[in-house]
Amino acid sequence: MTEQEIAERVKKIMVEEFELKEEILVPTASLYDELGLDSLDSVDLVVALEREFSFKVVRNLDEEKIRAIRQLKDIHEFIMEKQKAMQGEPK
Amino acid sequence: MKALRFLLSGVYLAYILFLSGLYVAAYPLIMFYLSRKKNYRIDDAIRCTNRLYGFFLVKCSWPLVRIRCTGAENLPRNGSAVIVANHRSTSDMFFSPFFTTSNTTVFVRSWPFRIWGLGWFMRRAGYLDMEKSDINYFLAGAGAELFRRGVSFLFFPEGHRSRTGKLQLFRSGAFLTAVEYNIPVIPVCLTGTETFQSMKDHMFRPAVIVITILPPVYPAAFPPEKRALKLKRHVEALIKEHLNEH
Repeated sequence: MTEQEIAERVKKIMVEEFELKEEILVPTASLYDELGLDSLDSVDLVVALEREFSFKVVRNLDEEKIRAIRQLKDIHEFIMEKQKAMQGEPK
Repeated sequence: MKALRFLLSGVYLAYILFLSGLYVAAYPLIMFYLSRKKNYRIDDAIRCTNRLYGFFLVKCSWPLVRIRCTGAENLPRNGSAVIVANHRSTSDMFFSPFFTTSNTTVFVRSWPFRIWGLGWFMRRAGYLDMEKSDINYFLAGAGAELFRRGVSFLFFPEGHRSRTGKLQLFRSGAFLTAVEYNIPVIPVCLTGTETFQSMKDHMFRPAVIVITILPPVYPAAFPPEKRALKLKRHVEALIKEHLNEH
C-alpha cells in the first residue's frame, strides 16, 4: 500500500469516527491542537486503525511510538512501519 | 446571596459525609452478608454495595433531590447490556443506581483511579480505566468473563462532562462492546444533574433529576459492515432527539 493510499484511508477514518471536515485533514495537521482530539480519542483512533489496516498495536512495544504521534503524517509513517514489520513476519 | 448558597452547599456536603460515614460503618456487615450468605464474588458484592450506597444517599437527599425515572422496565432482568448515558455533571455517577442493573461495572477516566484509596477501591470493584484499557484486549479477556457472568457495562460515551449542556461526540468503546457480545445498548437521558451540581462553581442546588431509560437497541439490527459505528450514530441520534424535547 502506498503512502497516498494510507493517507486516504486514514482521512476516511478521521471523517467517520470524529466527524472532522476533510479539508482540515492535511498531513501536517496537529492531532491535538488543530484537530481537537484528546486522550480518549487516541484510544478510539488506535482501535479504528487496527481494524482498518489489520494490524495489532502491541503493548510496551508500540506504546512509545503511539505517544510520539503528533501530526497526521506521523500516523501514516506508523502504519507504513507496521506494514513493513508485518511483511517481514514469518507466515 | 452567594455566601448563603455557599453555606447551604457546605451544610449539604457535611450531611452527605455524615451519611457516608454511617454507610462505611455498615459496609463490613453488608459485604459479609452478600459474600458469605448470598455467595457473591468480592467484585460483585462491592458493585452491589456501591449501588445500595447510591440509593441510600439519593433517598436521604429528598426533598433537595427529587427523582423522576421512567423506562426502568427497559433494563434487562437477566444477562448483560451496555448502558450509555449523556454526561452533564460529576454527580451523574451519584444517580447511576437508578439506571443500571444490580451488577454493573463502570468505564471511568484515569484520574479517579489516581485518588488514593478510591483508586484501589474502584479496581477491587472491577471498574475499568477507559483511557488505559486496550479495548480489544479487554473484550477478549476480562470483558468476556464479565459478560459470561451477566455483568452489565455502564459508559458515558462522551468521555467528558458537557460544558454547554449539548451532547458531545460519542466514543466507540461502548458500541464495540455491544457488537462483540451481541448485547443490547440501553440509551439513558439525564437532565437536572447539571443543576444539582453545576460545572461553574460545583455547589449543590435543589434539583429534579429526570432519568429516561429508552428501549434497548440491538446490534443485530444493523448491517455487519461498520456495525459499531452505525450503532453509535443511531444511539447518539436517539439521545440527542430525546434531550432536545426537554
